[in-house]
Amino acid sequence: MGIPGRPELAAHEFEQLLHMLYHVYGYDFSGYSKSSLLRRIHKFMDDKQVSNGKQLIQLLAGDVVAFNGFLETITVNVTEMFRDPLFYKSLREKVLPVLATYPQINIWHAGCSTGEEVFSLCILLFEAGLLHRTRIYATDINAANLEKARTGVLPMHHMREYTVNYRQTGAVNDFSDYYTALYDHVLINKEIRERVVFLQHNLVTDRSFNEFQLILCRNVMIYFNKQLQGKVLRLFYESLSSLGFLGLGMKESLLFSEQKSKFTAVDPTVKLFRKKN
Amino acid sequence: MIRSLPLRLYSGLGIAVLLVFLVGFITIDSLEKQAKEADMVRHTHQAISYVRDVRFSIMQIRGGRRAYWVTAAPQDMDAYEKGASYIPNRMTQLREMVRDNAPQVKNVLLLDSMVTDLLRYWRTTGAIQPDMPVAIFRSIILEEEKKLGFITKQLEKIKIEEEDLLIKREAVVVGYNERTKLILYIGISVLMIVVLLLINAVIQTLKSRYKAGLRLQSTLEETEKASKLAQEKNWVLEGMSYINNRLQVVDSSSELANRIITALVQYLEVPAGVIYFVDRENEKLVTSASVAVSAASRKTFVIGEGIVGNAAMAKTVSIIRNIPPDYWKVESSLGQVTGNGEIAYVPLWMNEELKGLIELGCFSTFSELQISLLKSCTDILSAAINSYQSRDKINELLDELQEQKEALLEQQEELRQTNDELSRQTEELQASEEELKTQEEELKQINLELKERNDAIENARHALTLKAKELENTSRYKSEFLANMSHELRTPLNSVLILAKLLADNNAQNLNAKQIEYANIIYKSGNDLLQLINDILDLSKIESGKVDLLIEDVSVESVAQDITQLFSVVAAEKRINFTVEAGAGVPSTIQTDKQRLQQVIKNLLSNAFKFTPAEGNIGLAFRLSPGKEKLLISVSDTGIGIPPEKQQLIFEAFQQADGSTSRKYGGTGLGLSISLELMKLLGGNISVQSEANKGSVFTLEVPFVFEGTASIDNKEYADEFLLKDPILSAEQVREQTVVADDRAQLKKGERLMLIIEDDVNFATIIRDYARHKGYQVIIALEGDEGLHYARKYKPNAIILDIQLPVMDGWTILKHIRSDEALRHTPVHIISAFDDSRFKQADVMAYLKKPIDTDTLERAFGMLGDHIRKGLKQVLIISAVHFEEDHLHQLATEKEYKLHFEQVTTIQEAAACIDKQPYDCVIIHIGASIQLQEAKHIHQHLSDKKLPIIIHLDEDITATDEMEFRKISGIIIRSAVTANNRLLDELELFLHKMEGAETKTSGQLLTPVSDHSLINKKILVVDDDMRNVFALSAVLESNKMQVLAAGDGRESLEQLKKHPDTDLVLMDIMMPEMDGYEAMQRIRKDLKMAHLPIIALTAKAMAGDRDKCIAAGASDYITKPVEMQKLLSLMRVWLTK
Ligand SMILES: C[S@@+](CC[C@H](N)C(=O)[O-])C[C@H]1O[C@@H](n2cnc3c(N)ncnc32)[C@H](O)[C@@H]1O
Repeated sequence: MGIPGRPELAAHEFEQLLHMLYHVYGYDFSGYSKSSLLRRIHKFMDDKQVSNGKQLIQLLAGDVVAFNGFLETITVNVTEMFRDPLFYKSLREKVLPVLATYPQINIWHAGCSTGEEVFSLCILLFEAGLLHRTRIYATDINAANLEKARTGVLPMHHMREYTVNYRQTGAVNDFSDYYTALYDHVLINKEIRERVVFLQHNLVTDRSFNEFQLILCRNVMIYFNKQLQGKVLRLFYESLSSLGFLGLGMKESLLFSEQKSKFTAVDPTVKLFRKKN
Repeated sequence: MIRSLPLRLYSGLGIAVLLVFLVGFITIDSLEKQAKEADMVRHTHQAISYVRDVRFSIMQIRGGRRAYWVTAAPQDMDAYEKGASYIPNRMTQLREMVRDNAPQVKNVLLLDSMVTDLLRYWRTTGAIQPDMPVAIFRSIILEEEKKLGFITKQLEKIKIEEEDLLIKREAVVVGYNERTKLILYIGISVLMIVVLLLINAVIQTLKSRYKAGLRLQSTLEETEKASKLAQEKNWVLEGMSYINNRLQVVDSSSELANRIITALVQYLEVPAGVIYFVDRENEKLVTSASVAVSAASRKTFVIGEGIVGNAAMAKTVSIIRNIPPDYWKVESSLGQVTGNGEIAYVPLWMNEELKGLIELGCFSTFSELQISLLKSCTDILSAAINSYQSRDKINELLDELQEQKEALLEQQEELRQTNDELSRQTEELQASEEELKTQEEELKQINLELKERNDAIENARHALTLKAKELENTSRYKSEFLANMSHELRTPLNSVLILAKLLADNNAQNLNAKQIEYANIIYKSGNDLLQLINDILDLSKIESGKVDLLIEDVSVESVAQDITQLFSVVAAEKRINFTVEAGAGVPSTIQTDKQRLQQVIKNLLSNAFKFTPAEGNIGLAFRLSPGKEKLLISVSDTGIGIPPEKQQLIFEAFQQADGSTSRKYGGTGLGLSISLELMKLLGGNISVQSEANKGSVFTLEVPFVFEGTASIDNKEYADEFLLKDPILSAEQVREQTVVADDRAQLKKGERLMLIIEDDVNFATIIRDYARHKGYQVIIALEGDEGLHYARKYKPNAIILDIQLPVMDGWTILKHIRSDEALRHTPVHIISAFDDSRFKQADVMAYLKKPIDTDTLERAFGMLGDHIRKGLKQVLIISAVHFEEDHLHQLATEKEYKLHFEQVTTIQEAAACIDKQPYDCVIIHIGASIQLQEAKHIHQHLSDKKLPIIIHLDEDITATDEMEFRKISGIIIRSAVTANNRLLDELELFLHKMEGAETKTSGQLLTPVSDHSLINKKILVVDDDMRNVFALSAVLESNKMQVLAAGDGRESLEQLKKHPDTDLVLMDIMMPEMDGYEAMQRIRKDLKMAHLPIIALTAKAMAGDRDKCIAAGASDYITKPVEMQKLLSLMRVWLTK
């Protein structure tokens, strides 16, 4: 793959690039897992026909549009509705009953990508009769993702897959009740999306902005190194109310975090944790 | 002359009409005049009749009067009565009537006066009395007649006058009549002439007209004929153009056929028709369209055969007449018609080629016109059919082409979509692959780390077990060694000493002085050795903590006395000046271990005596430390002293200032070490001040009160644990079946007592007693079994024996106290074994066997109190039933030590709170207890610092939640798991409280009295409640007024309500309306250009600050907010 003859980014070029990105745009990627980041950078170079590191740095330093494209490429945006249905089943069964005891529920969905997971959560809340007193803050680093998420429009061709997922969460209704089909897209119903705000927030640099009973941050921290993971977990810990819940991706873990002792596992098979105090 | 007829007619008629008018008018005029004169005549007649009336009345009166005189009958006077009123009346009328006739008026007036005079006369002087004398009567009559005479004359005059008038008038009327007649005659004759003239004129005209009419008629008939011809031509032409028009814009030949046949049928107004096109391949005529012919009759015909086939070959229109009714039928949706008729065949030829045939049916006969139309149509129709047939062919080809093109396009589109899809899928695949890869890496990383850590842990564990083993071994070796040594050394030493003593005593008298001296030396050295061994044992015992201290109140004086007694003899022997003194303020007693303290002082003093030559001074002094918190005991001497560099060494074991000293002065050299250790054990210390060859001062510091925790052999137990496995597995334990207890039927939520006692009889007695007291009971007969039960059942109380099989009571106690879950369980010891250790042990009480029922009673009472005391007290304020039972049960399950109590009103609650301490209050918000009441209770509790939990049944608004949050940080809305969370929060909260009790809760900044901030109105806009509360607290403590808003929209509303706001603290990430937009609106919509706004933001990226400023922020501070920094920032923006 790649342009034949395009050299890999040299270590010092990589450093320079990160340095430049931080100083010019304020984005700090130094805590990202290097191997993944490199792969994405190389992909960007291939897409944009950039032949070496020096050119890349020059291109990105001078051109905001190119930078935005770069940002979109290096953040991996894969997501789906009811991703890992068992996780959602567990949410439904173990977490929502506790959330029901709060008069106003605050939820933070960090790294929400294009919103599929957020809508899934909304549907669960709706079915539990909690949506009307819930406020969901869905955040992501990538403004283009948020823009997409705000429209509530999803491509049609995954809906069958999502329907299967939905059923596995212990569904009570028809999935199709929640969207309207438009040609090759679907529009998630407004009443489902009503309680969500999509906001830009960078987990690396930005701080806690509210207190939440539930924080979901799935498949985001896998792109971070240990240190950054620790930092983000600390941010989540600070942002959780006492006895609040934290949901992570299936391949993520609190095992080696210093935060481990501050959480108890609610359902270890699906990575659901609860703040101890 | 007037020439034109109408004019002549009009003028003649006009004259006639004028004449009629004239005559009419004159006639009417004379008639009117006649009528007037007649009126006048009637008038005159009336006047005459009035005159007659008056005369008649007067005559009547005259007659009446005469009769009256004769008859005296009053009715004869009636005439007079009547006349007296009637006559004047008539007179007035008469006057009225003649008013227009001057001479007559005069006459009437005269008459009037006469009549009046007469009447007066009759009334007065002339009145008649019946009895009146004749003379008088006569004179009266005479007079009367005279008067009457005049009157009659006058009347006559008037009458004549009137009659004259009458004659005149009648003459006038006659005159009128004559004139009228004349006029009429003349008028009518003139009229007649005019009419005659007119009639003549009209007759003349009519005559000429009639002639013209005849001429016109003939012309008209000619024209009509021509126009009919034209119409027919027209009809044919129109028909052709109609048909032609109908053939325009036709897409297919079938439509063409349809159009042709319908057009023909319609235009010709025939009931039915069929058109056949030629099927060239089969030489057939095929029905292409038809009108009013049923589907069954749509057939094909071979050209040249049958009527139809032949008709087609005819090349011209052919008509078949007299078709019988059964030959055909014409259909419509209404029904069928048959009848006699004709059929017309129109073959369509084009360039000698048959194109088709038209067949038309008609119930009457085909007119010439129709036939001619048909004939003239054939060319157009065959041409049309021809052109459409070729056009059809082209269209077919075109369609085919179009379709092929579309298919091509479709394929292209599909290809593009597939391509798109493919590239999207690859994109997605790549992304997922990326994610997968990263996940894999993460997992690998985790695994690696896991392995590393596992290795490390394994290593550490291994090292630890080795160490533990080693330690175990060493300590075993050490104690074994020490035990052995003491035994092994002392056994031979015993013999040595005994023998040496025997020798030195020289009972046999066979030793010389020298030999006796040697024996003494042996004895003494042996003693030293024994001492040394004892000291070593002592020291190691102290060091390993195996020393029992007996702490009690010790009288300082008794210590001094004991010591003085002991050493005064030695002092005297060695001729040393020994003094004991006590300083001012020394307490009479201190709390310590007397024996140990004395041991230390003795040691110091014996050293002092050892190193102080004769005539030296040794002093023992009791003083207070400078801080007055300790007792200082100093031992001073004037001995050889200790050089500074050695002063620390002397406390180390086996060290003396000089290695040789020991040999010179004796002693093991362990004394000071032992003393130091002992002093440390007692919570004190030893220090030394010394100068070589001048002497030394050793000072002991002793605390007044012993505070050490190491009351009893902690380390001994710790050692034991190392030797024994502290975790008992269920299999190792043998559960007893000898004494029956309640383990099989335990009820949750009821108190449970564990009895650990090896005496079956006694265990049974306590069990019965406990059951009697309402406990459930579990009995263990062996120590390990007891510990096992304690862990398994978590009893509320334990009764424990000390001497037990397998594991003794102290060990069990130790385990219980070190177990997180059992630590607070009250333990009561009942033992036959008298052990000083119980005093320090953490037990409820210690009872010595045998015990009586009274003591048992007391023991249970204590346990009960304790159990209750260990529970946290929770007060529930709820107007409705709150399921305390469920809460209680749940609490027991969760092993939370909670006790619930419910009240239903806030008054009751207030009373309870005042009476009794609680650890927490739960307020259930319902109908009768609302926010207001909750606030009230909050106020009531404010100085008690009691935590509150709010419990709700229904949804509340954000503002209400804000209010509730001011009262309590924990708000629980009822749901299935609400009680669960309630307890978790409660436990967490009470737990935190315990931890926090010692900490001062003063993270609030000390308010700065700063005038630039005081009384300022600050609007805090944030959806983060924590932040709002924290900021509000600080701002309010700095005497500012705080307004709050939960999002941008609310902030605008607040600002509209409070335009005097001095400063805004604006969060950025908010629902509804974010901070950026809110700031823009404040600047633009509200026009508050100068209001300072400080943006608070969790965002820290380079561009965020600029974005805030661009949106209208005056300044910017990042979250979490540092209060000091914020305050100074606010100061900057608030000083003008
Ligand atoms: C793989 S997606 C996960 C989407 C979704 N949570 C799921 O599990 O389906 C990762 C998301 O994290 C976002 N992200 C990456 N770095 C981030 C950062 N520093 N702060 C916030 N979001 C970040 C990316 O933009 C991307 O949308």
